[in-house]
Amino acid sequence: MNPLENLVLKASELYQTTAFAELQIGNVVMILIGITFIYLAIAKHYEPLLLVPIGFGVIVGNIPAVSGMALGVYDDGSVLRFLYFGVEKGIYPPLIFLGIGAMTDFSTMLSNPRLVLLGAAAQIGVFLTFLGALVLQFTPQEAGAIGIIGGADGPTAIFLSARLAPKLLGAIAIAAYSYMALVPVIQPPIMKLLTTREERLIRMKPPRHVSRRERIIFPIAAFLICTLLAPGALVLIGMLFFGNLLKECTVAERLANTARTAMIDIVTILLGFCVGCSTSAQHFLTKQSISIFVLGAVSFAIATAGGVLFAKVMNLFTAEKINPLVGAAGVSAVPDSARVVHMIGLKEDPHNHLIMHAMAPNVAGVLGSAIAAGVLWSQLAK
Amino acid sequence: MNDDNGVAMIPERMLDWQPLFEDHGIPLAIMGLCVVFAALVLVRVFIGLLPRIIAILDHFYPDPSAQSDSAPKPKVVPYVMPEQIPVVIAAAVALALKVPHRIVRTRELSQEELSWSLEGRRQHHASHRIHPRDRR
Repeated sequence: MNPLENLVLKASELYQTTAFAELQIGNVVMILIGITFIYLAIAKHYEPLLLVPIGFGVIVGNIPAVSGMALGVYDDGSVLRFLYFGVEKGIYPPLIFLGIGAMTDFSTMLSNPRLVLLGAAAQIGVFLTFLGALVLQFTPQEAGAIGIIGGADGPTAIFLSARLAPKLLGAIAIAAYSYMALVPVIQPPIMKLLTTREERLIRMKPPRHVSRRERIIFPIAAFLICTLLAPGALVLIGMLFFGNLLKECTVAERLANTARTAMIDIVTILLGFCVGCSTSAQHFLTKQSISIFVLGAVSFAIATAGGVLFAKVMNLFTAEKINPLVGAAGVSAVPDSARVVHMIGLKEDPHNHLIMHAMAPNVAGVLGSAIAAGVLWSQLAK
Repeated sequence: MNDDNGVAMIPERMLDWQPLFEDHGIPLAIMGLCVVFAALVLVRVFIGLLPRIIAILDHFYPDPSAQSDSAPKPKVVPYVMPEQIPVVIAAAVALALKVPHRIVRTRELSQEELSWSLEGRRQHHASHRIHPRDRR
């Protein structure tokens, strides 16, 4: 073998040890999607805390592994596989719920309890999409996991899909978080379409003062009510109300502070990054993923419409009117959908501040989607 | 589309309505929605009863923090705003609006308006930046 042939052979061997040898067009597409997520997060500020980790995870997950090396989330023994364990086994979502609970102020809900029902109404998106997915020939387990996208609650969607449809976890998680990031784009047209200007101008009465005792009793009692009816929601709702109790009791401030700051940040990083890593083109770029994205968008739109329309129905029977925009916050994208409601309300009337009223159905939506997930899990688990 | 024998194949059916009418179809969806509504209706009822429960609880076991609220409060001295504050507010408004304006009056928030948890409000407002959709 002459030196030139030897050089070519060595170059070829070297090429085979690079990721270029296994790189496919699908991986390139996914890397571009990852870069787009990072761009949207940085330039447009769409859910940056989620889209930056997910976007970078998508890039990492689409670098092809060299044969014989355990690198990706699907390779036994790899570091990413161990990190992904928390997603696969549903460990991260409850921890995120703990942090959310430690951040959530239920005073909004306690001061105007009828708004709780809007959080239930928005869950119609979950169940109609579940039916839509069945019609599209997904299995009942897959349909349940897809339907929960309409809850607009990323951790809940991951939790349920990890149990019911692990193969679809990546697509469902990306769809759920994408639509959560696109709340300011998806919701306003639906809200405007379903409400008149007069309805958008409705002012709601200021909330009453909620005592500390009420705020301490509520998480315990609401946990008992919700989980006795839907035990499947035990983990998510339990952690949510546990975090809230830590916050409201005021004697465990250190724990509450850790739950709502360092801990939720760490888990969000791990969850977002690992979910991104799980979207390798071979697992993600399928016809099923496209169907999931379409169904997710439909689910989200129905959920928004469900909340708005239910608020209008409630107005037919109550003297004290509800601004129907608030119903759109029944999807549990906290606090984005409440903020969108606030912004739309301000556009109509610069002095009508709806944010606190919208937070009531917003946190009720978190409960509603967790209960819906619990019901679907208990009914569909094999 | 033809198969190997040249026989026309029927395209795979994309929509299948049959699963809707099985146990895990419409019945499950209706049941699930009912459970969600039932749970949140019960939560709503409980919240409605909560002030009464608190009143009964207070009767037997008074809340120390509430007692301190009901204790005689020190006489409130009317607050007189220093001149510098309206000047600073006016300067900030001028900088933000960049149009002619006039501050007509300022007022202190009432107790009712302060009822929201300041910490919760701060967190909700600080968690994400507000971006008007028509920004340039």
